[in-house]
Amino acid sequence: MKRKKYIGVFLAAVLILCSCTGCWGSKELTDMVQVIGTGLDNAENGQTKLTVQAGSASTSKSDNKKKSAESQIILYQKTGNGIFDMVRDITHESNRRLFIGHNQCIVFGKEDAQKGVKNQLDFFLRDSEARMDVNILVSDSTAEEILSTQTEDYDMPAVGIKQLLEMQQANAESVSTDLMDFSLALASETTCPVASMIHLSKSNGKPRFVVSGTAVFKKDKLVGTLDEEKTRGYLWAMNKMKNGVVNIQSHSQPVCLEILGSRAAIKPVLQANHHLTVHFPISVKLGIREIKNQDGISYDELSKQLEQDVSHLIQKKISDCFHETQLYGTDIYGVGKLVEEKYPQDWDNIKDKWDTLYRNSIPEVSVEVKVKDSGEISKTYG
Amino acid sequence: MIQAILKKIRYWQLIKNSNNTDEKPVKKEKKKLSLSLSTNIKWFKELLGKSDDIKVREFTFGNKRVVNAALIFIDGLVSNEIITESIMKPLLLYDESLQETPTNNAHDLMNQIQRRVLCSGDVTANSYVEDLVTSCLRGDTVLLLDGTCQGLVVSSKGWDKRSVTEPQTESVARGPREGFTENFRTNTSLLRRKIRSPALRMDSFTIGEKTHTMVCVAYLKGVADEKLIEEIKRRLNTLKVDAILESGYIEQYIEDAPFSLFPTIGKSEKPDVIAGKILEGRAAIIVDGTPFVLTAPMLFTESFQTAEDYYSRTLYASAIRLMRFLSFLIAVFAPAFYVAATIFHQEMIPTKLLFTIAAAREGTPFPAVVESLILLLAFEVLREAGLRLPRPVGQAVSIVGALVMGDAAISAGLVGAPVVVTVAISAMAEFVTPENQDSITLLRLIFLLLSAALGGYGIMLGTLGMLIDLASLESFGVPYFAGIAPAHSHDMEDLFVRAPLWSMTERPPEFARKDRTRQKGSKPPFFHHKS
Amino acid sequence: MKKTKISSSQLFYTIICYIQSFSIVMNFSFGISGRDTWFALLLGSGIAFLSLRINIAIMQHFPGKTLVEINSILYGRKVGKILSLFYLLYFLFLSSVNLHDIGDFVGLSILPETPTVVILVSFMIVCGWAVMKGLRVIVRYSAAFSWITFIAFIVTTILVSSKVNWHNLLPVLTTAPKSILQSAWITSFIPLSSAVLQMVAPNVCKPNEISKILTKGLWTGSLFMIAVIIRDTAVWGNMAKSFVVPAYETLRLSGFSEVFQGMDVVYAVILITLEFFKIALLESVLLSGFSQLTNQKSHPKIMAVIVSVLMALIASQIFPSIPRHIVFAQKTEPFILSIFEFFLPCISLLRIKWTCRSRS
Repeated sequence: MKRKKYIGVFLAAVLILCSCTGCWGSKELTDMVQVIGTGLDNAENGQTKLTVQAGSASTSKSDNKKKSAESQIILYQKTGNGIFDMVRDITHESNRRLFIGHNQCIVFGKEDAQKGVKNQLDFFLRDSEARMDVNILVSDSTAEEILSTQTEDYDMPAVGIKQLLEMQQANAESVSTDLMDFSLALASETTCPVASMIHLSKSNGKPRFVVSGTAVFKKDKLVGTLDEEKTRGYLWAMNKMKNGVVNIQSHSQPVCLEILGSRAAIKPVLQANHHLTVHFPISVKLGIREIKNQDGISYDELSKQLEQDVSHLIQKKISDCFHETQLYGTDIYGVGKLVEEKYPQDWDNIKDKWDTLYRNSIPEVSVEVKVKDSGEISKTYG
Repeated sequence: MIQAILKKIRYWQLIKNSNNTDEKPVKKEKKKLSLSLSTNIKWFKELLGKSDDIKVREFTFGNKRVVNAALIFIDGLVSNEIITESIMKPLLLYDESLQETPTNNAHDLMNQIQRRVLCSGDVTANSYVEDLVTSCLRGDTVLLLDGTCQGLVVSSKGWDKRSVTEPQTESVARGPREGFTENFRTNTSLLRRKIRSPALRMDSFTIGEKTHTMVCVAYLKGVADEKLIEEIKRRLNTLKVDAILESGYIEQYIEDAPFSLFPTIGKSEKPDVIAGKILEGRAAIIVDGTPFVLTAPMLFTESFQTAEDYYSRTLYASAIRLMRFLSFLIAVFAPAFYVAATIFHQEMIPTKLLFTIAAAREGTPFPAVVESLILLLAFEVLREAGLRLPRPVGQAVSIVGALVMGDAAISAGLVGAPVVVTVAISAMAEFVTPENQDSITLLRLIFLLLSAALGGYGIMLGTLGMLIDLASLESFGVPYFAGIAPAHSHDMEDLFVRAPLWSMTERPPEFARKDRTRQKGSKPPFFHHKS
Repeated sequence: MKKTKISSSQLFYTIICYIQSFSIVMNFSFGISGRDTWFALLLGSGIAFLSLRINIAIMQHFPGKTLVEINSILYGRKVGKILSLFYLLYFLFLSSVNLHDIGDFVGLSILPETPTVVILVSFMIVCGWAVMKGLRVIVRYSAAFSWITFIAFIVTTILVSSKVNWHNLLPVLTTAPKSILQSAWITSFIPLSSAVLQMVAPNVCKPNEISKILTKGLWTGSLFMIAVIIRDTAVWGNMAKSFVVPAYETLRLSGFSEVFQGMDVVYAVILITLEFFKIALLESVLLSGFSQLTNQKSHPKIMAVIVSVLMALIASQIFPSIPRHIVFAQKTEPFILSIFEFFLPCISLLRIKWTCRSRS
């Protein structure tokens, strides 16, 4: 009988344990705030200002469509030294915990990025809730401005930013970096990370996000930006131009071509005198999508001319971008890693002088262009 | 769980002890009939009592030598036609002078009546009072003659029985719509009509001290494993119970693991299903008084098989089979996954869906676990009510259930819509495999509690526990989870998919030890055309 | 001696499951050899293969006998029993360390706030129950578990393929040879324990196939682990050194379309299931060894409970923190393992040869 009593007590304890809803790791949805955007800005005394945009649960009900005029963003802001500290500090204001598992983007203010981001990213790498596919952006002004703006297209602006970044593939003029790429670049000795730039613009008096341009970091400090043309050059070299449009003047006519596919590689060659030549062999396939006036020019002639013109254009863009990065001294292409792979014995001698080596290296771009088709028609009829 | 284990251990100890001290069957002294008719009738009346339906028809017959006789039968159990035409008529018209061999005493007369006079199909002689009383209670008529201590049992069963209709628990879109009935003989005849082989054996038992229920074990001799049949018979013989009212009684007495969540003895109401299982080498146990016939041994995968699988074509049958497994998983895990995802692992939910669920959770007072438990309970109540209520009230209950419990509860803010959807999906998935109903209901609850305590980890531990339990379960010596663990290639043909009939050439070796070949070389026509 | 019969394919898959569960603790070797861990694992498999051959040779001398029995025969009853006792303590140590790994991993990945004791105790309840049901039951699932892991690996590799950068593996073999050797030594005995196999193998139905199955199992499992390591290195490059569980981080990356982004719990569950298998195997080996030591037919059920509780207690207290555990695994553990896996079998084999020679 005694044994039965013990077993009964044990079972009761187990049952109570199982059914108690305050178990250690359980977080009710109503007890948490879903963070969808994080922003980090510079504050006085070397501190950081954290801006957190939270998603509101009531935004997804259908009867809230009429509320579009009002702002539905919920922001939390704190100034402090460590991000983890600040996140917990927010509980002074909010009755719920912050949950960053659904964080869509991390925005750095320009000043903050110039001071260095490595320490701040450390939190996002260690935390178990944070994910590696968060997008990293640099704001033209401050992160707070970006995150506190309610745009008309999206209910939850941070989610909108993420979708906007996914669309950038179509115009092929901006990069989209996530935490994983950024950290991999930071962890490497020579490669420098890049991030997209975002700013606000007004259209019809209403604000909109615009993603354009690339922020270039040296180690973890923002040192410069690349505009859209130069970003194109970067993307060409990095084999990331899979879709996109090439606008060109040929025979004094504006021609619009679509990129059907491209392949690029980077091949560094170390000369005997420790000078570096970086070869960029590129091959592109294009299709004619719009010509203002094709009169009198045959398809063959047109395509030959176009191939030449596009080849020059791509060469110029890549060289321009490369020279700009040389000015900053930032190896965003990963050339250093390739040199290490190719010349492992010499690498130990070179790696201390990599900065000067990169600044003095010479790019050699060789582009092979093919115009594959001209759309549905081969000739415009006047 | 530990309690269950200890109970199981104690149960097995009981079994072992009872096996060791086998009671020697106490041979009761059986009372033999006396020579005097009136004494016999008196004894019968003592044993059977003064009920209105016990009829004793005394009569005399014979012209040369007048003999006193009595017919004892129970009104309602016998067919009056048989008594009139097959027993009374030939006896009353019996002319001794027309017989070739003269009879000297009542005993010879009895023999002659048995052999040459009675027109009924089944006439046996018996001298023991208890046996004669038992056969009376079965519906036979007992004929007693003055001067002999032997009685005749004439089969005259004729009572009201239900006609053979479509079984209510298993309906098919394609296939025979006959189902077993409560009548023992009808059931055996239905089985015989499916398997017309002389190898089909039906060994009968009478079980139940008060109910004397007829139970028979049907199997194919030469195909079914002899040890299996012996084991089944041994277990049936050890039953010393008061009553067997339904095959469920027998199932609970002879099953291997009474405390397991999964049944180890199958059941079915359809003769073609039972015939299929007998042909694979299993044994069927037919019990008088119930249309549910048991099959032993049973495998886990059987609860996912229906008769229609084998009448439909391969691809469709395989897709449906896979869908059934999926439904089982959904039915068991859906509420647990929902609770685990919304309480512990919010990263798993897509962002937009998360906000919808959060919005739904905002308005409700209960924690997610309690909500799910309430709804599960509500569903069980609805289901049980639907089973028990009288038919005219059915419509009202379903409307009340659907509208009130679903819609109104959500609008009132008692429960959230996602929880209702989850529980509804789980409930619907449960009915895809109705055989698993009891195990699904309990498993669902266990997993829900586990996931509330430890999230995905709890579900994982529960799954592992369930898998270990399944793998260690044995049904009459055959591993219960055969096909998945231990995995053999020959089991795969009928497990998750249903291989074409012409490719299943061998019987599963767990059952048919001797005769493995099901068919030899019958392939569909397209194999023959080589051109 | 009650022997549970397991089939050869079950033994094969058991070995593979055992090796696959190494994914959780890959940081031991990643932390040292970084990019060239795959080569270290290859070397380690070679060393493990060597020790396996030694054990197989011992087993072939005494067919159908487990480690404990062989020790008693080789070294006499008293010394043999003491040696077997040491082996049993070694199994206890192995299972406690693995249990500690699980506690860490679960606490890291899916249940951050639950106290480790709860995780371990609930794990041991299920594990102890499985062991009470018997080795036969556990081994039945080995095929299913290893196939699920294979499929998960293939699916996640496809999903992660956009992030794979083969340049992360280059330049090959530039890490210091000392690091590679140390890493190889670590990986040689942690994934595959020949001593455990020597306890399990005699239960197989067809004894003459044992050596073939063990070799096949070892190499298949090692090749799979090398593939996993290559994939992880290709995705993470040098960052793999800094992760606590690199394989899990790769799994967290694999997601497609917005709906399936957070499947890490599912993958964590698969990894934990493999570890469950390993610990159940270790515990049942421990218990069967104990029953053989005390000359009983099979262990009393209460022993399973006691051992489970003991293992949970040891595991929760054994290491104060994860970094200490990593340091221990990199510096001290290989010594302990190589004594039992390599040196003792060597001595046993030499003794066998010496006895044979002195007889003939």
